[in-house]
Amino acid sequence: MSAFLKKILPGGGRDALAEALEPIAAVPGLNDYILLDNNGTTVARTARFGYDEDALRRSTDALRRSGALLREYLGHEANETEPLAWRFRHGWLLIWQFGGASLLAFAGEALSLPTLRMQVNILRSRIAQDKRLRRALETAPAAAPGWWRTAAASEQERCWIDTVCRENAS
Amino acid sequence: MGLVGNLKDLSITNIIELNCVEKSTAQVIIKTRTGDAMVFFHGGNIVHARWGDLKGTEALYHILRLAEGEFRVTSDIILPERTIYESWKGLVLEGMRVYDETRQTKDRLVRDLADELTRLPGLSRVLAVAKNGTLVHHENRDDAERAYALSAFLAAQGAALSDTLHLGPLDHVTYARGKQRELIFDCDPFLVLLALERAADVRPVQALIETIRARLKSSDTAPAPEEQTEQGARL
Repeated sequence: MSAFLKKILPGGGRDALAEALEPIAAVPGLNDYILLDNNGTTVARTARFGYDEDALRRSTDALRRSGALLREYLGHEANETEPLAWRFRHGWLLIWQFGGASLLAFAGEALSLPTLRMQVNILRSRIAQDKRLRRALETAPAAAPGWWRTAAASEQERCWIDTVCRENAS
Repeated sequence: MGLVGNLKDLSITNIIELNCVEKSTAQVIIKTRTGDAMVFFHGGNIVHARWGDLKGTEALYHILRLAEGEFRVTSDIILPERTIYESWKGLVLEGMRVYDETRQTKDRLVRDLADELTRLPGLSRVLAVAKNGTLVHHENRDDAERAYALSAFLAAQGAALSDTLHLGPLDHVTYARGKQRELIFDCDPFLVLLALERAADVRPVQALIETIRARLKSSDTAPAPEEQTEQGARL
């Protein structure tokens, strides 16, 4: 596969996204993070992830509804750079929305929230500037070829996508 | 297989009445987040109740406050001991009286402490609401009901997440609102929503919230059973 295709296809984009998330794992007090797409599929997570992923997947809808209700309540006062956070006896669960995807961070009492917020904002601006990161977030791994054709920025990209889809189908 | 259901559909007082009128010998087990609550009947009389470390009428009065939880009634029982001798009608009436009195005391406590919270610097809003939907303390703001709905929803989601992921009891939920942050504290059986300037010191707020929690706990005639497990309320 060409380097260009690696860049634009989901796998490549998701690898880049996982790499972009690495500084978050180093935030003091952070135990784990996981990035879930709209379908509850894991896009990236800490290697040591210690929570029940299946249970989290089942909670995706509730988390999305929490975010939607909050945005509706806040209206123009909503601030997407700030997380929705639950503080439990045994630590924090913080959620940021990235388009359709949700970044969940699990942290202990020693969490440095300003550092985490800064790292998440750096990630957000990287995503804003990098098309393949955006695509990796917006698209499930099994996205239809039609979506990729629509999302392609140029005729050359569309040709590449058609070629790959033909190769995959054969 | 005996009767199985949820207290949301059939109240505990109805279950008691049913068993006493039918002169049943039976046991009711209610699954709660703090362990099994049990009431034993013999020949139509309530003869024993247990919930956590509580026994007898003390346990029964707490059980009478349960509004939800899956229950099972079985007639095949071995009575462990007898701790209750009063008539069931008297017990239910007394339990309700104690419940009302405690609830009024708690409402007053939360209202007074919410007044104290409003006097803290940097705090622009205090809303206290019972989890059953009664507003206990609020300002004349149009969005009080929406704020309550959001608080209740986010607190419920927090409780569900805690059950699923074993994160321990919910302390509070927080998010940014323009230049402020809002915090929803779980002061069971109330939720307290506060709006705070971003730069404001949250420690005095937390100290007062801890006071509210401690006073609510001590206002019970006897404390409710301590959390023993994080199991779901499912039989």
